[in-house]
Amino acid sequence: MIHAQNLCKSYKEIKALDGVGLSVKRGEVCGILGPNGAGKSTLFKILCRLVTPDSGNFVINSTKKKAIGAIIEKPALYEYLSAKENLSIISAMQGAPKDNITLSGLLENVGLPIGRNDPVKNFSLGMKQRLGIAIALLNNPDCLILDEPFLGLDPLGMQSFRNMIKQFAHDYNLAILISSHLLDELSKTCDSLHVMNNGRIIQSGSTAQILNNSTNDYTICGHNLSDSQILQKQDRKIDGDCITIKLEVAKASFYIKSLIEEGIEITYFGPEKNLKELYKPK
Amino acid sequence: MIALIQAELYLIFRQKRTYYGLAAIFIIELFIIAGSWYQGNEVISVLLENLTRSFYLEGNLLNGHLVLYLVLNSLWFNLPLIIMIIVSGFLTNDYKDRTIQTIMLQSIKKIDYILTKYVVAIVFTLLVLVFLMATASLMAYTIFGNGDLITYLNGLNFFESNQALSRIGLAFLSGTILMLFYSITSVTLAIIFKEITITWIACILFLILSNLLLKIDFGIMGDWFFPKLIDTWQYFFYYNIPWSKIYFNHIVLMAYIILFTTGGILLFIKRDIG
Repeated sequence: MIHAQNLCKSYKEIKALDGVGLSVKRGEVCGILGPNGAGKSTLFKILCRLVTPDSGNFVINSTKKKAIGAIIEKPALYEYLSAKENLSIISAMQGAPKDNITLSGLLENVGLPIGRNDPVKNFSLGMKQRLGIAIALLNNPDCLILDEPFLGLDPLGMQSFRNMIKQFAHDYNLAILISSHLLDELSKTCDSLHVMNNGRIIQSGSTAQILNNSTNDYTICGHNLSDSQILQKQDRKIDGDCITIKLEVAKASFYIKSLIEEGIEITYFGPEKNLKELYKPK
Repeated sequence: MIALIQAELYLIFRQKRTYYGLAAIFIIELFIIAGSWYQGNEVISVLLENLTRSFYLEGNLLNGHLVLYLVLNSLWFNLPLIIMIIVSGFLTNDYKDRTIQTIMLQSIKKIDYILTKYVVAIVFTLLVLVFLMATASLMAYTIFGNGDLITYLNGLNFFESNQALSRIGLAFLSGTILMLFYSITSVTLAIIFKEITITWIACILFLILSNLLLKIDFGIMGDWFFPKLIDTWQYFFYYNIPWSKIYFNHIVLMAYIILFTTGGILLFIKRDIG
């Protein structure tokens, strides 16, 4: 659906993008993970044709009038208008349907109340993000690009937002490209992942594969961890009822089994993602 | 593009700042009329003390025509300043609120978007001038009535009431072209500077320089230089109207409007959004 090759963009002496390429299929949620200033927003602005690349090219295989719907950085809305008025006016600008049924349907799809007529300046950030997605979905695009959509959302909001994105990819067969520096959220949302740093994609692959590559440590929490023989042999860091040990991903299940056999009451067993390792060029 | 223009006009009239601008224009009008009411007769009687002994002047000299002429003098600075501030805001507010990005992420072409801004600037300026002309005329003629018009341009000029009305009407039309020039310029300045405060400063500077440069003699080149065209509306209050000069000035001013619009559009299309 989206196919980009060797995209480069510089701002004076700073190379924002340096030979970036990626592909996203229909129905796929693809994540871009990277620290601030990695070049994620520049990449998205280029794909949305807001910014012209210095070199490289990209193709979006769509016959729709609007191929991509997007939110870049944060949703920009007419704060003095209501949610429905925002949708109506932006629909009118591009000749998209703006009848009450269509607009109410869009609001319903993104989980916003249909009956609210107050200005969106009264909305929470989560609600504004949802309205931003409804605007992005106007005119039925084939792709959705979301730049840092989890920013400022509470845990409950993040979970609900995550489910909504997955649902859109599945129900509407949309190609979704999503960026964040929140590893946990991307790992729970995306089918594939690209890691960006300093304007370059330094790792690509399935989300599980990339996370496994960057996992060296595991944290185990339980009530009687000090009784464990298997943990005694490990180089470990103890923090109350929790212990962090160095462990290869392949051995994780063996350790869980062994701890249970030793009669340890495990309350948590999870990987500690090593961001330094993740952002290191491979 | 018509849908885009309608949407932009709807947005303009849904914003409070538009009404603050219109209120500012109305307040200026009120001040001019109130000033005429309290001090006008006194000033005119001092000015014409000797003349009224020698000539018969029909009606009260402090009349609706004179008040409208005083309102016309707001074309020098007050009105263009307010128009430039409001109109440049049509674009700079889109930059500030980042709604320009939201619009550009829809199936809307850059050229359509920026052309719409220029069209809306023209429509809004015309509406403001109609509003100014209508309210000023209504108040001026209701309160002060009719009479002969006296102006001081290259000496004292007297116009009979009927003649004064047509001259004021023509001066308003000429002033409309001038206000369109300022309005278009403010959109182009907004494209260049993007930021609200910097664009305001640029607009004020442009106005001040235009008024200052009007007084400087640039020789033959001066005929083509825009600051020399901003007083064209005043030619309608010369005893003998210099029609050829008026036609020439208006054509050059319109050429500037086209030039500034084209330049602004090309710059906007060339630049990245965000």
